[in-house]
Amino acid sequence: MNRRILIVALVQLLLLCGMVGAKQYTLNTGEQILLETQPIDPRSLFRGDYVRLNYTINSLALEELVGDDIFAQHDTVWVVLRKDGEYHQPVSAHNRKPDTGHVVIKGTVRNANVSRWNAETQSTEPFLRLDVKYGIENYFVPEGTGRELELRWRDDEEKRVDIRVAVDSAGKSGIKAVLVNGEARYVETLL
Amino acid sequence: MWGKAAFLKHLKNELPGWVNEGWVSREHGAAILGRYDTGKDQTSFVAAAFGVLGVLLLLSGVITFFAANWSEMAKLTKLVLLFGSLLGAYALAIKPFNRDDYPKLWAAMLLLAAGLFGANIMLIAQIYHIDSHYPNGVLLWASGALLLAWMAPAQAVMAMALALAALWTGMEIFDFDHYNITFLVFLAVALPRIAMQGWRFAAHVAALALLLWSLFAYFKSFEHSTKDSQLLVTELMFVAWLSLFVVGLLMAHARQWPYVARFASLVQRYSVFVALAFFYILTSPRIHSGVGWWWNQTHREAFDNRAIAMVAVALLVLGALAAWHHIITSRAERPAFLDWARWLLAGCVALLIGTLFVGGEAGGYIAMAFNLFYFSGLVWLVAAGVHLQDRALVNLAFIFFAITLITRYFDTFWTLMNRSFFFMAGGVLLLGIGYVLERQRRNFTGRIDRQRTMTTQEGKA
Repeated sequence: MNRRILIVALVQLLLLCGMVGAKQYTLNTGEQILLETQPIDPRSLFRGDYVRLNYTINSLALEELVGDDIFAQHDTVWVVLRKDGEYHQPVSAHNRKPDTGHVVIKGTVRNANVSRWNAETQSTEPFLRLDVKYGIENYFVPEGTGRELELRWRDDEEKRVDIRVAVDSAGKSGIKAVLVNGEARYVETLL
Repeated sequence: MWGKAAFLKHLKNELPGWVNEGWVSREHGAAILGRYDTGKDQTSFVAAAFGVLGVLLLLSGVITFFAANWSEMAKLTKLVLLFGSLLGAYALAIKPFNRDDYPKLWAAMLLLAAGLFGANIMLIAQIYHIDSHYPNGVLLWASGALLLAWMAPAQAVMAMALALAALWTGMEIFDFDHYNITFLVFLAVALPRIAMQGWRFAAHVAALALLLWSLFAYFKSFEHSTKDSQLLVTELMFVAWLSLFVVGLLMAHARQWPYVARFASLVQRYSVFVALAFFYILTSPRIHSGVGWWWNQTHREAFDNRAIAMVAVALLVLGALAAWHHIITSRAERPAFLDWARWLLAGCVALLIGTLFVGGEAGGYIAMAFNLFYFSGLVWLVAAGVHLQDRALVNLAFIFFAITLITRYFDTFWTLMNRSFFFMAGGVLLLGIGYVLERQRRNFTGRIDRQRTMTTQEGKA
């Protein structure tokens, strides 16, 4: 019986190491891109301080992109990103992983809005906008520094917060570094 | 029935009187008391209670320790502490709190290890900024606990795994719109171990988890449903739980597999409770007509082919199970209540088939027919409870009888009677019905108790 308990302990340890390994694989092998963001600072009572990151690629106006245009809530979406100046920007959105030479990031549709209010005509008009989650929206920081990171962005327009993200060949992404005014403030390492 | 502690207390009170009356000698009295008063129960309870409290305190300590020292610790230190605490709990379960010498503390250490596995998952997700589909974290935790519960084997850990699976399924259904059929696979993996070990507590948790899954799925289905699909889902749930009740009846006959037969009564009770709840919903005219409040005045359409196929498959499964039960019970002397069940079930199936092909215009008539079968079903349940000597079945039948009578009173007279008269008449009716029902319930449960006593005496003789 003791041997069986040891086997369980080993399996559980392997699963935990697998969690770390999968993330580290993405960070080590993924192509690094820079994403524009607006961090806001909620505090998690159970998980300490974390910064919620709101990327420009979280909101996709499908009329401005090529690719597929039928998505529902909780669908998987593959977004092709291309470097435009300093940052990577969305080019197209797809239901399946496209074969392209550009960076492809995998996300999940949080919401699919199908119309918007037009103030000029005072009526709603068709407009498909996706709210997409990529799994890089939360970043845990040392206690008390989340607010500081937010203030840096909010108080001083010249100061900006960017996120360096690694995207692996399967489209999985991970935060590699948090940059304040182009300088790495937090860099992710294995240990 | 008495618990062991209550029985022992009663015995201690009664024995001196029996000795004084000369019915038993002082030595025999002491021997009888010694037979039951081992002192084991109280000690075990205290050990178990302290064990669980200790587990909760330790888990809280680990989490608050991390929260308080987050900034000061390097990643490596965090990982060493996390993995170390997990392995430490397992080491304590192996030695010194081994199963043979300290069974309760051993179980507590395994519970602690299962809890620490979850804490590891959450804290590693935090350290490495893993922010994916979050129910997967709970699923991983539940799976780790299930593996431990299977391998050890440990009942408390199994209960924990099932509770976590219920939490996981709630997240998937409400936050991500999945009906999460995978939950049934999880349950199917857990059940053989529960049956083999005869774990009653874990069996109750499993039944509750299944009940929660169907309720979550049922309420979620209403969010995006049409009038047809509301009736469809209610009928499917009713047939599914009724089928499970027949499975419970079959289990009672599985004498060659005692580890299955001993859970027959538990399966029957839970399944009949949920089946009655869905049957109760089917007695409402609104669900059949599709007509609800003032903004919803159109009737529902007849079912489409896909819905007909789904109900047909469910009814076929129910029919097959009922036929199997009929074959098994036909070998022995069949009690009368089983013959009534055949007719009742046939009527219900015919009625369910009928609902497939008619629209909401006939909803009122169909609801009346469902009411007729529902009340007949409750009378049958009382008869079944008396025959099976199961007070819970009788009590359930009376509870549903009272609830449905009150509902029908509201349905019928709310718009027809003056409000003050409605409440006064309702009060008088409630008191009267309550008195009659309670008398009848006591009559039937008393009969069950007398039958049990006779069976016990015959067994001793």
